[in-house]
Order: sequence, then structure tokens, then C-alpha cells
Amino acid sequence: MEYTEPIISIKNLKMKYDTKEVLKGIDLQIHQGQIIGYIGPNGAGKSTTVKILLGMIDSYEGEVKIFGKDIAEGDIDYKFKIGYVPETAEIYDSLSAHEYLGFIGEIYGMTLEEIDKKAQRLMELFGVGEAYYARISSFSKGMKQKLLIIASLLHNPDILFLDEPLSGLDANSVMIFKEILGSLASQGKTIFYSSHIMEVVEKISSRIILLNNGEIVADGSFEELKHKNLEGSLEAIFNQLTGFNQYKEIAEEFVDVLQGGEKE
Amino acid sequence: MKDFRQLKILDKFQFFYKKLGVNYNIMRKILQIKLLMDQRRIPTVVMEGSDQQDENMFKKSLLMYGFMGLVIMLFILPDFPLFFKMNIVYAMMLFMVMTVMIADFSSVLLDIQEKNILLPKPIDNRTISAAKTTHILLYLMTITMTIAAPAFIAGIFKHGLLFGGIFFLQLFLLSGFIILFTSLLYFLILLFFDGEKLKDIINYFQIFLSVGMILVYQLLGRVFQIVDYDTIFTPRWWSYFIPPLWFAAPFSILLENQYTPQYIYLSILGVILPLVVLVFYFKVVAPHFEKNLQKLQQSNRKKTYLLERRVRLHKKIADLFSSNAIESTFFRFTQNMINNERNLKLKLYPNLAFAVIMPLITLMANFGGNRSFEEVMEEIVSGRYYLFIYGTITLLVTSIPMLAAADGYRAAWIYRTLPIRNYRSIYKGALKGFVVKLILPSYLFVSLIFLMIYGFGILPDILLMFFNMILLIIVIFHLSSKHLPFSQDFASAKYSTIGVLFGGGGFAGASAATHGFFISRNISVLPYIILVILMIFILWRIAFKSIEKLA
Repeated sequence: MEYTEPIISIKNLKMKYDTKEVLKGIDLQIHQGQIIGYIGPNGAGKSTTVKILLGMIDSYEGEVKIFGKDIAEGDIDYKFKIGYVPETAEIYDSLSAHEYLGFIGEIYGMTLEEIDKKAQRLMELFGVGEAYYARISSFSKGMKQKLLIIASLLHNPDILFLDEPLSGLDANSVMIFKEILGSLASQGKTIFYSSHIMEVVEKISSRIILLNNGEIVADGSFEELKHKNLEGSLEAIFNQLTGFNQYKEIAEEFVDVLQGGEKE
Repeated sequence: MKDFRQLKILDKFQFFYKKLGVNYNIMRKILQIKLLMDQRRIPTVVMEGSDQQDENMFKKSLLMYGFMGLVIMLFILPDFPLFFKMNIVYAMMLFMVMTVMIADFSSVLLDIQEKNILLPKPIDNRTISAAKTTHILLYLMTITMTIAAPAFIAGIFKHGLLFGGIFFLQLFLLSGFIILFTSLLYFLILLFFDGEKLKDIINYFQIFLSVGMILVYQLLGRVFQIVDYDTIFTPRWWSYFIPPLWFAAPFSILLENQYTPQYIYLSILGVILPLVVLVFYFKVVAPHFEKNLQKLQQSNRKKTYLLERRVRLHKKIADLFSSNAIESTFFRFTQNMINNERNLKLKLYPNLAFAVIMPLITLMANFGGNRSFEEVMEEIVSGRYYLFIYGTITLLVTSIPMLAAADGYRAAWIYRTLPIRNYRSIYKGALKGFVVKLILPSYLFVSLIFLMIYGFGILPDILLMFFNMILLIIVIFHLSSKHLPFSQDFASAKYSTIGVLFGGGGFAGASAATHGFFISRNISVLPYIILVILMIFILWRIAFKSIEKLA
């Protein structure tokens, strides 16, 4: 499917938890085939944005359109074309991967045969094929993460929301996954990538959005950001834009406290 | 930090640990932490699992064990030969302590997480394993002593101090024997199966214990009528493999002066075997045991072709009960979850088992005395005992709120990201799956037994009770807070269970009274059945109409 319109359009998005303003008016237009690196310090509002886009939170202000339709209207059809890897790997882990993926896949309208064929092959490609019929509770952290990734991609979605998707994956699997993201984007899939690992975001993103205190403070490709902020790495840009420059002093004091503790 | 009395007693045996090369001070610190954590763990034996997480959970369970001990004591009182009495006493104690060990201390014995915390610290292996075994021993001793205390005191009064002496010594042997036996059992299971299988087996033991507890209460008054003591002990070769006999034999020798060779052999076995196995455990099994524990994290591959056939069959069954694909998916998801969630099983199955057993126990109450089997059956058939099925119904429906609970309840985020247009299908599928999986078979089993006793003449009554149950289930569902399936922790699901027990009990009681009235006036129940079916159709619509969005 080709969209000339923005695939995701956010206008003046605001969100409050009790009295705390988490999002203070966000405007975003995302086009098909982009890999968005969505970064920001802890508590900046990244996860909240993603949850609103997924329809998990509906008490927001502003307008959110996905595939050109306002999601507040209650039509959930867009969810058929969305995949999501959450930050915390909470799964019904007493089920086997086979049972869990079967459950998810059927809700996306796939047949059991189709799911089995796809899921088992995907697990094999990720090097965990032998665990397909085992209980998820016996999985290692990396295996669980691979399962979450497969569960989010099984129905071949057009938009992917990934929240720290590499956590627990070994270096080889990370390389496979980055490659997958690249070819998915070139096929016209849109990827919303949220992470604290700046090196990865810097490499894979075609566009980087930096959120701080519920506001967008930077938006553009890595080259553009570098040009604007005169810093060499995304990490340094991140530090500069979030107004954080005392890391050296804090580190020094931390080490001082350690040594002081030893003397006593 | 809190200092424990057990540890102060343990301090007296410091020299023993130091001789074994254990760093006693470190071990004591580990034990202190472990005891503190145990206070916050809820043992299986405390059924009503209150919400207070702190203090006294163990003491509370000790009260229960003390009560069990009183039951065991009852066997000391009558004037039967000591050998038989002690046999029963030890059989019950072995059963109790063994089940407690498996149900509540398996987690301690099989803990591999503590390795992640302790091994990187500068502590040697010997100290870690000493802490582990001492930890279990402390508990097992306390529990064994509590269970044995009433029988111990009663025995001293009845048979003198020598009885007390033998009994006391044997309690130590018993505890040692049980630890060894359990470890050996786990060792063997882990040798042949994977960790998941072992966890399943432990889960079944836990369910078994819960059901056993309920049964003990029920059978308490009837035990003495059922047991017949007129048998004479003639040892066979396999007698030497039965542990309670080993422990019972010394009493016959020392207190009743029966110096027969069988009793002497049995007594020797009773002393030697626990000691041999204790040494064997610490020297041979323990090191391998710890190594084998790594297997706990493994899970074997199942036979796929069988599984795939089963999945296809499961889908056919689910489709039969469901009106659309989403409903069918949730029907199967619910049943899979019940199959796999061990904690959910532990909460559900004892209750179901009791629901099935309860009317049968009421029937059993008629037996005993001097009447023949035929006379009793005649009386049962002339009564209306099948109305006790309403009791079964009350207990069965109390499990409905549990549908909202699961250990992995945090995984419920998935509902919100999935493209589900009609939320009613989630609830419909889950409720149907739950009823078909658990409630239907229990009800069918009980009705089958009553049909066998009363004949097919009561079929309309069985049907009426069935439809009344379905109606009650829908009412309960309609009035409950409609949490998504498996989206709550067990504590919050528990509150609703109590309300359901009273409400459901009231409904079942009223239905039983109405039903009884129809029978006593010899009125056909057919119009009543039709009325209930009509109400089911109406309420089913109302109950699901009120669901607009995710709760």
C-alpha cells in the first residue's frame, strides 16, 4: 500500500497524569518508509506517546491520525496493520510459544496453519526453533525478546512500534534484526524506534526525534542534527539538548564516595 | 534485623558446623535473611490466604498442623495393639510431613535464583549448601514436632515415659528420612525428565495436599466407624519396604515385650536406614543434586505431530461452542491458560474436587452402624439426596471470579494492542471455555453418580439443576466487575469469590427449596425447566449487552 499523506499525523498532543503534564503539545508528521529514532531522557514522555498511538491510553488531548483516520473515533481497524514490541517483556509465559503466537495470530485473522508455518520458520531463523513448543517461562531473556519481536511482526504490519527491542539480544541477533529493519523500511514499512542506546539509533534512523520534558526539542536526520548542534555524536547532541553537562562532576563524586567508604 | 529463636538454638550446635568446615557466622546471616523472607510467604496449608503479607503466616499454618496432630492423637487413645496404632500414627505423619515438604519446601530445595545472588559473593559452596539444608531442617523439625506433639503427650500419659523416649528419637529419624526421600525423588525425576515436568509434579502434590486437608476435616467424625482393627499382622516380604512399619515395631518390642524376629528386623531397619540415607544424601546425592538443578531451566521438546493433531481437534471443539472466530480463539486461549498456569490450578482444582466430593460425603454419612449395605441404599434411594447437587453447584460457581486472575496478569497489555472489534467476544469465549473445561465435567461426573443410584427417573431434575447452574453462572458474570480474563492478581480476585459464595449459595438454596417443593407436591418440573431456559436466553443477552469497551 502506498500513502502520499502522512501515515501518522499528530497535532498538538497533550497528556496529563493527575496534575503532571507528560506531553505538552506535540506535532508530528510521519511518512511511509521512515525509520524514526524516538529518543529522550527517562520520563520524557516517549512511552506515553507510543501508548497513545497504540490506543492503550485514550484520555489525551489533541488529534492523532493513523492511515489518515482519527483513532479517537473508535475504529480499531488500524490495529490490524500495527506491530508493537513493549519495553517490559510481560507475556503469558505459562503458555508455550506455539500457543501464544497461535492466540495472537488468530486475532489478527490468520489461520492456525499459516501461523504455525510462519512462526516456526521465524523462530528457527532466530536460532530458537527448538523452543517453539516449550513454555515461555523456561526462555532466557533474549529468547523472550525474540518471541516478542516475532509476535509483533507475524501479521506483516505496516507500522512497527519498537520500544528498546534489542534488550537481551546477542550481537549476532542484533545484526540480523538491524538488517531486517533496513529491508522492512525499504519495502515501505514505517518504524517507530524508541531506545536509550544512541549508537544504534544514530546508525539505523532516517529521522531522529528528541523528546525532553514532554516537548520535541530536535527533529531531523542525524546529519542535520550534527550540523545544527556542532557535536560529533548523537550521545553528545543528546547531552547538549537535554541540558545535561555535569556528568563528569557526578561521576567524580560517585567514585569519591566509594573510596571514602573503604577507608572507614 | 530481627533475631530468630531458631537461630539462638542453632547457636548451641555451632561446633558441629565448624567441624564440618562451614563458616557459621555467614551461614547464620544467610539463614536470618531466609527466615525473614519465609515469614512473607503464604504456605499452601493456609487456605483462606489473608492479605496481610507480614508476620505469623507460618505460625498460622502451625496451628493447622497442630490441629492435624490432634486428629492423629485420637489413634493413640483406644486400646488396640501398639503396633497397629503406631502404624497408623506414622503413616499419617509421614504422609503429612512428606506432603508439606513437597508442597511448601520444594521451592527452597529447588531454588536456583539464590545461586545468582550468593555464588558471586565470597562465600564457599559448603556454607551455602549447609544453609540450604539447615533451613529446610529447621522447618521440617518444627512442623514434625507440632504434628507429633498431641500424640506425644497422650502417649506418655497412656504408655509411660519410655513411649515418649522412643517417639522423640524417631521424630528426628523421620525428618531426616523425609528430606532424603524427597530429594531422591526430585533427583530421579530430574534425571529422567525436564524441569517443567518436575514443576508439574510438585503442582499436583500441592493440589493433592489441599484436597487432602478438606477431606480430613470432613472425614474426621467418621474415621472410627470405617476403620476395622480386627486384622492380624502377618509380615510378608514387602512389609519391609513400608516405612511406618519400621517406626512402629520398636514400640511392640519395648513396651509390649514382643520379641519376635520380624519386629526386631523392622526396628533395625527403622534406625539404620534413615541414618544410612542421611549419610548417603550428604556425601553422594547432594553434590550431584545441586548440579542437576541446572536442568530446572530446561524444557524438552514435545512430540509435534501429536500436538498439532490435538490443536486441530481443540479448534473444532471450540468452534462448536462459539459464534465467531474471536470467541473461538479466546475459548482455546482460556483453556490453554488453565492447563498451564500452575498457580491458577492450585486455586481452582481443590475447590472443584471438593464440589464433586461434597454430596458424596453426605451420602456416605448414612453408612456405618449395624445396617447392611442394602438397607442403607434403600434409605438413600427413598430420600431426595440428589438435591445436594445444589451444594456442588454453589461451590462450582465460586470459581468464576478466578477467570480474571493469573500469575502473569501483567501480560494483559496485549488485549489493548490487538485489533478486537467486539469486546463481548472476549468475555463470551473466555466464559464458555472456562465452563466447558472445568464446571461441565465436574457437574456431569456428580450427576452420573446420582443417575446411577436413582435411575433415569431423576433425569428431569438433573436437567433442571443444570440449567439453574447455567443461569447462576450468567447472573454471577453479569453482577461481577467484568475484568478481562487473566488480567488481575489473585489477591483481588479473592474478594469477589467470597461475595459469590454467599450470593450463589442464596440462589442455589432458593432454587433447591423451589425444586424440593415441586417434587414434594409431585408437580412436573418441565414448566420450571422451560422458565429457567427462557431466563437464560434473556439474561445472556442482557449480561453481554452491558459490555461496551474494555474494563
